[in-house]
Amino acid sequence: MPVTRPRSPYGGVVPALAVALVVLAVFSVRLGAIPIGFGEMASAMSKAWSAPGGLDLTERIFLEIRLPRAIATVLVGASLALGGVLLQGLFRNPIVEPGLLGTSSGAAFGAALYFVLGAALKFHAGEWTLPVAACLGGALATACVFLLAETAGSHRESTTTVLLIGIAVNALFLSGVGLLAYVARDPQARSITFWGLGTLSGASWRAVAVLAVTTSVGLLLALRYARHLNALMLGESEALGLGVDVARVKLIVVAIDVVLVGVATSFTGIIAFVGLIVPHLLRLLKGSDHRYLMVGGALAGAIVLTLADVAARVLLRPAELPIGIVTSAVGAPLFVALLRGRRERFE
Amino acid sequence: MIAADGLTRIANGRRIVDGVSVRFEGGRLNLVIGPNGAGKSTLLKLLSRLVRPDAGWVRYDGDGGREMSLASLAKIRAVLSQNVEIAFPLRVREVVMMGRYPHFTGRPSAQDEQACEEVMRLFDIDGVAERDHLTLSGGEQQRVHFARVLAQIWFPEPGRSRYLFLDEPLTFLDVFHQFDFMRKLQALLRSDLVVVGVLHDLNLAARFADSLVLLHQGRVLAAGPADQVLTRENVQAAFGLAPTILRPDGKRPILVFD
Repeated sequence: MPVTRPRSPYGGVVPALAVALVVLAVFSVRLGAIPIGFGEMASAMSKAWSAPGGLDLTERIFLEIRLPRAIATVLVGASLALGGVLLQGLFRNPIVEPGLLGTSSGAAFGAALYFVLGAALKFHAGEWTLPVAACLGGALATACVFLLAETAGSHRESTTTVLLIGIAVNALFLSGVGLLAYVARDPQARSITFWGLGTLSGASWRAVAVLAVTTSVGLLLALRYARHLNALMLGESEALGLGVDVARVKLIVVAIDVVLVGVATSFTGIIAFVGLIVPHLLRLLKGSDHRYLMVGGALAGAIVLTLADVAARVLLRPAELPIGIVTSAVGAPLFVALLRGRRERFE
Repeated sequence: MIAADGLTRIANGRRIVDGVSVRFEGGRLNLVIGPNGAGKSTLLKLLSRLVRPDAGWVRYDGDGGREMSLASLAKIRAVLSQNVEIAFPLRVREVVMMGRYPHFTGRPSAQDEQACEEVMRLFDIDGVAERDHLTLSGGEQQRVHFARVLAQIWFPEPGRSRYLFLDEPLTFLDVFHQFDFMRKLQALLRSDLVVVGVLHDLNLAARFADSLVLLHQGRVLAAGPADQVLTRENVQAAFGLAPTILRPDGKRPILVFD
């Protein structure tokens, strides 16, 4: 008997998000103390391609400040949202995210440690030193949360337990960041303070290069586990019954999350709530298939962070707000709304 | 056929399952009964190889003593746990298609789609295929999960038996759907399909079982046809309540507790 293949219910969202992202990113590049037109963008790109040097001021602002910042924003937003999708899938719980489960604060601690002790370190990996330090910090904090959650709630991680442990671990690592800022000498102390608030103003082409690698590799690797995370929505026992090696998948997915969020945090500091809100909005829109959540999440995360960056630059013009303040100011009320909605629906 | 010998599982120093040796044949309805905490669910997990035994072994026919990988095991063995809860919005069709995950990578094949359509029709959920399962009643959700586990082993595998494990599948169902499900299960029985279920309701077990295992404190108290297992003495020993046993048709016992 022939079976007509049903149309995918997820169609349309990804192309729409991609178009929206390109339009927004271009808008964000043009926006600033010096407006930049399309003609100047085109001429700057062609000049940079054919013969370096010979750029005028506007063209240099575009090429050396605006463009790397816009791309870094896109990549960081994508990384954070993906991190949220991965953690929510693992915990089978729509209200966790890297900022609540210690990954971000651990990464900030690792980065701060590098700022203070970096000069004394023997180990150096060029551009990658700071991201690696952040990833190690993020891995440490995330491991703490996982291990504590696993032992605290016999075998099933309850939402409340996980969130409370996340709060404790966050507090621990943030006070570590504070301590490092306290003992550091001034220029370092200032950059550590920035780390706590989140900022994109330091974006450079070097950061873009590193982020491009981790974000794209992270997304591609994560997509291979989309179906495993789908199966995990049924519970660990059911996933095992469907042939998913649950312990292994957990480890790999957490590792991807730590690298994505750790590297993003190493360049921008802690930016909370993007990983919480984005997957939730996508689920409301179409559903919970993880392939869709990952691709859509990367795009939507990029859009959300680009919007937040525009807001950060516009609200106190000519001064600039740390972007972490913008995302938290918008994200925290939404988080509370989610918690309330969840209680009505599930308990 | 499943054979198990000396199966033992220890948790927190307690023998949850203690030296259980059983055999379950294909083409029959094999049901496990017993009081709360008798080790029924754990036994089912051991038999379905979700959990490794601390002692003893489980053998499926055709696996030649070698252990199958999780992925190839999932093609011939499906398990329905107690209380599957999903916290995320998903269409009924998507949940059922998860049962076919072991059979495809990338996109589902026409055969996978066909399996989903057929199981959804069997359990009367084809009308709600595009609805979010969270909007369904408890009984409907349970039928979605029946459909999912059956989709997993819907087509015969040449040269291999298929195995279906059901842990208290009737919990959320009204009496009509309880009978409906058990009858559908009976109609599906084939010699290459081994079904093992845990049931709470002794009368339903007596009505439908081809073979019963009565578990008590991790051990087999009695095993065999319903009328031999569900005696007044056995039920008294396992549950601490002595029933009056009626046999209206001379064979199947009906237990009345008073």
